[in-house]
Amino acid sequence: MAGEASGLTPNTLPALLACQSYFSEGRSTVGPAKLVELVAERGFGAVGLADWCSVAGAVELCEAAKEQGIKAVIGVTLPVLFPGVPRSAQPHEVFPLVLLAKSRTGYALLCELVTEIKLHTPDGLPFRVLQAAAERGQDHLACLTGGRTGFPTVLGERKEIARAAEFLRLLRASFPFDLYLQLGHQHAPNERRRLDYLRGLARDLNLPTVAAPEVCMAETADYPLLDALTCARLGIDVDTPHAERPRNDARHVGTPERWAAALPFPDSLLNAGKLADTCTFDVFPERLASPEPRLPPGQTPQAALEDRACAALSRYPAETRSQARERLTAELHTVATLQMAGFFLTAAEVTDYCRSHGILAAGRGSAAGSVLCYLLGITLSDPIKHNLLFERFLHTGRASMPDVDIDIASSRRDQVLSWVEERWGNGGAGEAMVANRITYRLPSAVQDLGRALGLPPEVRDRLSRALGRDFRHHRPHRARDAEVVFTEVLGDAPVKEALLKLLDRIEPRFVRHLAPHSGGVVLSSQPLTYFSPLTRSSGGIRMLTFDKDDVERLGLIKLDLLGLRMLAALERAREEVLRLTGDWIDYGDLPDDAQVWKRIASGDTMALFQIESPAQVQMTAKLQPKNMTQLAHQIALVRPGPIQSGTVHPYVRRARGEEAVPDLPEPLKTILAPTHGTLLFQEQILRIAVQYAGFSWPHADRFRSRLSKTEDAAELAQLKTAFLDGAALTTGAFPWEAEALFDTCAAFRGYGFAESHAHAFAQHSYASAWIRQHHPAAFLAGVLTEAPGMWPASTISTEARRWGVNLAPVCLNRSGVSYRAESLRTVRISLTAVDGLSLETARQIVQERLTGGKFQTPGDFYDRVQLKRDTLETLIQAGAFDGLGQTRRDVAYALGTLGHARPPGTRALLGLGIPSLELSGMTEDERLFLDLHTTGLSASGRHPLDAHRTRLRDMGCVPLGSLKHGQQVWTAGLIVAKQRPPTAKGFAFYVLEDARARIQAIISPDLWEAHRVLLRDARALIVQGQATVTGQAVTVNVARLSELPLGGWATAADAGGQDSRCNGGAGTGQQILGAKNNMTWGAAHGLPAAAGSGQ
Amino acid sequence: MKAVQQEITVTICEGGRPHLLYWQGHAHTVSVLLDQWRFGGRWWLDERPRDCYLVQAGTLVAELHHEDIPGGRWWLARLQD
Repeated sequence: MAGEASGLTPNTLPALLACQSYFSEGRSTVGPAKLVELVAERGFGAVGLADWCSVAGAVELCEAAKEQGIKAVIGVTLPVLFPGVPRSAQPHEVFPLVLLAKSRTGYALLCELVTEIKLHTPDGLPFRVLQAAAERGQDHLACLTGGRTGFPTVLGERKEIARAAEFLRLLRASFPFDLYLQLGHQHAPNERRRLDYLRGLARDLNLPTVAAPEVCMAETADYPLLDALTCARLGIDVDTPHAERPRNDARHVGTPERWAAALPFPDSLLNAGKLADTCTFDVFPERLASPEPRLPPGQTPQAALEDRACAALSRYPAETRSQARERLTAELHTVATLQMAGFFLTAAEVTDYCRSHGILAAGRGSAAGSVLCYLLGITLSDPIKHNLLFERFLHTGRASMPDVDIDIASSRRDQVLSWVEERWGNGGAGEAMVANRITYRLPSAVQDLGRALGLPPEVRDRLSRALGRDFRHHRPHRARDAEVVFTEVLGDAPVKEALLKLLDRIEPRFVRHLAPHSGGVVLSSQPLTYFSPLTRSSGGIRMLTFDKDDVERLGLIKLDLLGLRMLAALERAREEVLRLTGDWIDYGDLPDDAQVWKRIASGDTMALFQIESPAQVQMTAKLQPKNMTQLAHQIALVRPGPIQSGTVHPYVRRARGEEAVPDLPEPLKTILAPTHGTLLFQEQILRIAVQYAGFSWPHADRFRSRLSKTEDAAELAQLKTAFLDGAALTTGAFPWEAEALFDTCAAFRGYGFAESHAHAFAQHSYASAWIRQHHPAAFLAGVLTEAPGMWPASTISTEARRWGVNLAPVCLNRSGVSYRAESLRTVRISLTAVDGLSLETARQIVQERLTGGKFQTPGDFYDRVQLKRDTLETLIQAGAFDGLGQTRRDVAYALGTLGHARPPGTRALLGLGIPSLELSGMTEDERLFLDLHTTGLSASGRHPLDAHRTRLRDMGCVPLGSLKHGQQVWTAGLIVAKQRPPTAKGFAFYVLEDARARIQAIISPDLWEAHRVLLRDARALIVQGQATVTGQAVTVNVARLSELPLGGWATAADAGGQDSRCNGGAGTGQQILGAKNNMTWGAAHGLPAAAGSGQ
Repeated sequence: MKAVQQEITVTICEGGRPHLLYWQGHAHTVSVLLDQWRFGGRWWLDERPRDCYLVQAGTLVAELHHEDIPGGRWWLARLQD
């Protein structure tokens, strides 16, 4: 008592050292930031994160702890392979150990150990590896013996105390003064006896104990969620008992007093505080770590960069060269100050590689504002010509790393990544992808938690699908908003409420797992394990365990190598042109073609990069761009930023000359002059902050960045005050003037383009328009193969007929692996377009054709190519045998008969005589159905609505191509695209198509609510409303609508806008299946059952 | 231990621990609290968490469960054979 009174005996737990967060994947319900917030609020002085095989929460933990003013301890819980019982069947037994980093070196050791497990020994860390790491990391690591599942407890329960003591002695040899017996309390039976045993064990071996409860919940109310997530991780449902399931809600944050009461051992409590003190260090570096480029001996990266850039200055014409030189000098100075020459040379090395291997690649983003990047060949557009701002990209005060994004033809991105891995891999430690945090959305949460609650897969799928476009992007905690959908699928079953309660408890941005970033590659001259553990994604990609923001905080530089399908399409088109005409197209040096601009200006933009969407078509018809700058402006205009900030309508009116540009005061007049006095680009916000509000470039950059991200009203008010004060001092602006401008900037937020980025994209748009104009068949082949845009193949091929290009049907003797331009006006459908036919199978067919000659008969094909029965059947249905002179039904019958005689790919010793049957032919609609069902498009030129034309005419529906401006009409079309963007205030936009035209149907929020299910599930619509015709852009403001029942095939819109055969929704899948059932060979075509099944 | 699973009346002392339990018409004073733990309950069936006590009460060694809600029920889960 005297001790307590004097303060020598603690009655509180000062630190929670062994917490787990959602980075432990299914072992916790709380994120690092929330954990820190709670820990600080409850009065703990330190928090330690020891996630299961992960330090992915370390950056978030340290930043949050710094903000809250408490200490952060970085640790990890590792499964370790301890020696098994002598002469037992198992050589090893796995027990967890908690390792805490005492220094930056200790942190790097943790990363190495996690990497070892993730890449080499997924079952657990071999004990000798732990011993070796401990030897290297003397005084850098502290070891805790693990909680409830640690070996002292488990072996004690098994009465193998001698073994437990032996393990402790082994560990003590590795961690002489840093081994602690970990004490926790989980309110389990016999808890007190367990604690007494552990303390006795420690006393016997002269080891210290530490109070380190395994906290993994924020509140007691999170217990059901923890249990459900554990069940989901273990793949069991809640009715199945399992030792790893949590027993109760004891492992929540609690309070220092509560834990001290549960663990009333003063030495253990003191040791927790002591460990927290010794394990506090700064994980963040002072400067960025650049990769090392290849340099001539004795040359510094900066000198090499300057030499190369200055030599390339001759690219500029004489009249602008001096201006370019001046700008380059300034940029090189900035790069030297930031010591980033190595980074630029590295990026240039990547684009050099692409160029030398014929891979289309181009830098985008703010890097396009840099003369240096242009001269190094990283970007393709000249920033001086377009007056692009360098400071958006880089300035001396920049705290974050510059954004260099390189678009690479998607089909060859893997080749580039392999080369990068080889070039900088450093034996596997110098290169890795950045991780993306995959957070829970409603569908993924429904799947995981629904499985835990025992919902059958089909019900979970139905629920996921029913969430539709309205709710599928919602965070789980907003599940109540979608309660109507839950009721629709689950009715009033008690499981509905249980599921909703669980979803309510999932915190926003709850991380489900990590996956590779779409393109972010980190290159480093020192082993990456110094910064982060390395792991492999399920697809085999080596990646870090930190996302792009964390990587930046850790001082690493990221290079975005992004796959761009349009570049792949352009590259493929270029090869087609070379094959057909012998000409080589240099996309970097395309002539300015008036015909191309005329076609763009008319709204004829199908399949063009970035300007093919209905909204862009409308905008094109209004703005009629005639040069690259106008095109860049248009691309940037249809974005949430300009839409929210009210830029769109003034820009359009002023660009069309319908409204005068207001007389703005300087410097706004100059800054906004290129965009008709409106705010369109991020660079303009920077310039306003500098020239209007008097900020420095670094300050302006922070201002723009915070303005675009903040959701905090207090921070916004703070930014506004700084802006208003700066504007008053710099330009003498009245508060209300500055406030109006600030509000416009704030409304712009982060969802707008950098001007440099828009110019980079405009170049690709023009390139796609140019090649479409001059080589339409080659372009169509590229587009259909790579599928770069939003439109399904059927819509593009229908449109291509207007370009004068026709499709040729899939043919075993003519089709290749990809779509192929057979002439200047014909494209052959590829074998891979056939549903279920893999790339390998297509290659196998083509190789057999090339080596053994053309296939003469269906039987010849059957004998030479070994195919699965269902693939063969699909090929027949797709009409791939039509070119061999037999009908699809004849081929099905013949191959079905052969299938009974011998397996495919084997020649018969004796020929089999197949009796001929009189089989009826197929109607055009039947063939169309099979074409669409198997390849998603048809070479016949027929449209699914053609079969309904008479019926629609009788109903008074006007064809889409005959709509007149202002007319009130009934019309109908197949749905080919659905959009309901968040900026549209509840309006939905459906693109309807018939054989001759496409229109956009605008559906009001009221109508959407009234027909939500119909609009989600329908594949074709009959609509009534007023038509608006602007050039080629036709819209109908829908007043009434109903479904047009079609029968058996799915549309592309249902399938996600790309490929009608690859639909992910079971609704369309079932419809297809239904159709298949109706149309299987036997049933639909009166064939014998054997032929029907393709035997 | 044999299962009983019968609702009973229990009076508690300071700290919420059982003090007196009434079983088959007799009052048994809890003399020793042998063990104490917590059970999360089948939350998916709307069961509440329970505090569980293993007590020596007179001649009985009993396992008592208490629903963790205000006015929560007590029941005798098991008895030492």
